[in-house]
Amino acid sequence: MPARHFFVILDEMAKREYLGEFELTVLLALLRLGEDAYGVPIAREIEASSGREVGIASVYAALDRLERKGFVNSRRGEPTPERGGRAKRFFRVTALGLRQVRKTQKTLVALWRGLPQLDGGEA
Amino acid sequence: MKVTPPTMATWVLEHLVLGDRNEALEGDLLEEFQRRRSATWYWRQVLGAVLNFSNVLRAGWVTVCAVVFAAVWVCGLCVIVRCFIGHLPLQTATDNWIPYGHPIAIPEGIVFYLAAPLSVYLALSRNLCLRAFTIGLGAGVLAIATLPSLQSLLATPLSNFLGYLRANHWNVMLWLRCFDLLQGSLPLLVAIWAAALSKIKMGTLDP
Repeated sequence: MPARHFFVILDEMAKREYLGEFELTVLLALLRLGEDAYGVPIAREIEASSGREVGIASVYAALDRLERKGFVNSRRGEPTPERGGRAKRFFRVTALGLRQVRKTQKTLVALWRGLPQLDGGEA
Repeated sequence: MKVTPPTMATWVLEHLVLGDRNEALEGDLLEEFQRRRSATWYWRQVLGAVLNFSNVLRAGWVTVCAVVFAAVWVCGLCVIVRCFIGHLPLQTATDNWIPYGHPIAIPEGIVFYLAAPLSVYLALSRNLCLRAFTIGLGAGVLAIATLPSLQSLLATPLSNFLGYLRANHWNVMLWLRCFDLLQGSLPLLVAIWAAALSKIKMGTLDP
């Protein structure tokens, strides 16, 4: 298979609407943080709720995918000296992103409901 | 006191992450590092960024081809260097676009020999135009492919010249190896030239 076709397939895969687990986590963290969320607070928010270390590069990779799908948008901040003159990139969830989170929530809740294996005990 | 992250890791982050430079990520890592994170954490994050498959997707197939192309070429150079150091006879190919026998068959040292010239190139071009690198590399390989016909044209004068060198007790084999080494470096030289040229055109190369 030519390399070009391989990347076209992968590109098409990335355009699909469904949310992966990590993408959903990043979107939820973004919603919790509200305005002016960028890489560091998003990673911290996920670390605080999941209790495991998160790669900031992975967060950016997920955010890039979400931006391509139209679920988030970003804007560039001003460069600051404490960041070595590098600008922050602020993200916010779009209306489409919010709709997709609601849809995913609905699906997951419907699937969770009435599962005897999950009743009562701790995960 | 302002703490600086490991210099080598920062260099890797700025130059070896495929695709466009992610300024926001670089700033975030610096900010987080200065907030009591360790050098190990920083290195882990940098390696995570370098090895992130999403970067490969973002960079696209041209970049991947450039890297593979450079790897094949570097393996070829590896053969030359080994022969040069070990005083072994060179096995040169005549009908192959890869100019040095069977470079793929050399598994060892790939990382080192891949990292060195790519680093030189990336240092010069600042993560830039891997597309230009591919074009340059292609031009270099084309030059090497046409070199045998040029050599056959020069065969008689060359053998006369070698006879003269032998008569004057010159180490002919050493000179031949130098010539092969130079020939092997041609793709990289052309690639660097192409990358620099493209940067000058874009007005981003420092004088």
